[in-house]
Amino acid sequence: MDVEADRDLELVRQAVEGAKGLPNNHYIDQATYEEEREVLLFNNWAGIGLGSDIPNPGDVSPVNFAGMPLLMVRNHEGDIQVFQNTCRHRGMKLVEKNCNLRGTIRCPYHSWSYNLDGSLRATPHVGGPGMNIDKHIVREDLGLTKINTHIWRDIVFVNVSGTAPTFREYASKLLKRWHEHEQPMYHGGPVSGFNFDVACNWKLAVENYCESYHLPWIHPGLNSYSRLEDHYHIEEPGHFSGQGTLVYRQIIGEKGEKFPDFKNLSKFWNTGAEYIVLFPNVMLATQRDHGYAIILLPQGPERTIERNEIFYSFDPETRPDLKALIEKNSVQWRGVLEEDLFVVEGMQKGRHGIFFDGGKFSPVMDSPTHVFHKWVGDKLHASRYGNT
Amino acid sequence: MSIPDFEKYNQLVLDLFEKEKFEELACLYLEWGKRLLALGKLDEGCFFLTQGYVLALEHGMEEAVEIYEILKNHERED
Ligand code: FES
Ligand SMILES: [Fe+2]
Repeated sequence: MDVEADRDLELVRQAVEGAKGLPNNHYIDQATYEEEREVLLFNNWAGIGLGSDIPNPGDVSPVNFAGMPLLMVRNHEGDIQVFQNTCRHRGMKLVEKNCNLRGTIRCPYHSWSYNLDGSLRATPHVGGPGMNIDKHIVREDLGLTKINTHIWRDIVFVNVSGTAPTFREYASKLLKRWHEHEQPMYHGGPVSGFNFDVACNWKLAVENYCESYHLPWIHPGLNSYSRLEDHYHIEEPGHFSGQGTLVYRQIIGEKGEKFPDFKNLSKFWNTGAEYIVLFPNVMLATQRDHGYAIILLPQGPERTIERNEIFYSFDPETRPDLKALIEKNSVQWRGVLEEDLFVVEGMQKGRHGIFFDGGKFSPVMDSPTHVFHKWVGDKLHASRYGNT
Repeated sequence: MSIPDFEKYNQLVLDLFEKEKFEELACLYLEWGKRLLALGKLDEGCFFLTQGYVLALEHGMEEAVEIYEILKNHERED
């Protein structure tokens, strides 16, 4: 790494008062994107999809995670495992689209076949036509590459490098903070999931999500009942950051109906709600009656797919009376989250200005964003030079 | 191959592939493979049985067990 890039990172890693933001190359440059892909996305626990993408045993779903072909599999026992979506023979991509498999995963090229636990089951004609064994083909050594997988709040997390601590350790501070919500959460169904295809680097979505400074200008509607002074910063350096509110109000339906609360919550949650980014790429909301997750799927330095998914304390199938409210809630959140899109796309455009120096943080208002930048800077520094 | 009905089977295989009727195709391969074995054509028989085996595995068909046994008996599968 060149001296200039190192000096830039040193500025990012300082205390917020003196720090600069990450410079332009972290948003527009392919080589930096690839370094961050490995250091930030692959070496940590990142979200790639939902358990409800593959609801039934035998369901498989391919995911392009920052260019890496992955395959989410729900086996016949109902457990989820992620594999590299690449055949061990000649490297063919195994599965192109979501489907349900009753038996094996058959490679579309020469039909090597894998069990849903990834083990290699059949190698047709590998020793010549009609001869399916060969002493040099050791099936035990040729299973699909397993990716460390953990499911939390129905989000499928992966640690691609296999070098991170367990997910529960990695996210322990957040699990502790939100321990009261460690209870079943149910996806609201098709209306409760919507994607945005956004022309920005994935980090800009994180940076915007974890600060409340922009609320009065970007979400004036939200601001009318959620004033800036009712918000507080959430900062857990090295792990997550975000914002909380003290004046959360439940959405109410035409007939006065409300969503049922999660069980046994303390009084704080009557009007408290928290919006946190678990680094690197999962933006979460926790509230008394529902929550959501936004999974950022980077598509290149300047393009990101945002998957927005809303979860409830109850199984929507059991409450047809709340169907209209679930729809109304989706429309409302979609509206709010859409208001952020021109901002993140605008910051992306702004980063093509060659004199932009990473920007100046407000020590009072921008510190959660700086917590994220410092995490990025620290991780990159440690990867380049070891933990110094 | 000078086996009766070759053309007919060949056309059926192509049709089933085209229509992605893989379970029927697995059964057809099984039948054809067994016929070849009965005629003493071991390599060809095992070739088509293998085709049937892989499709039967993919589609969770019980025929996979039967085909596996035949292939294993001929030392074509572990
Ligand atoms: S590449 Fe998959 S079987 Fe050959
Ligand atoms: Fe926002």
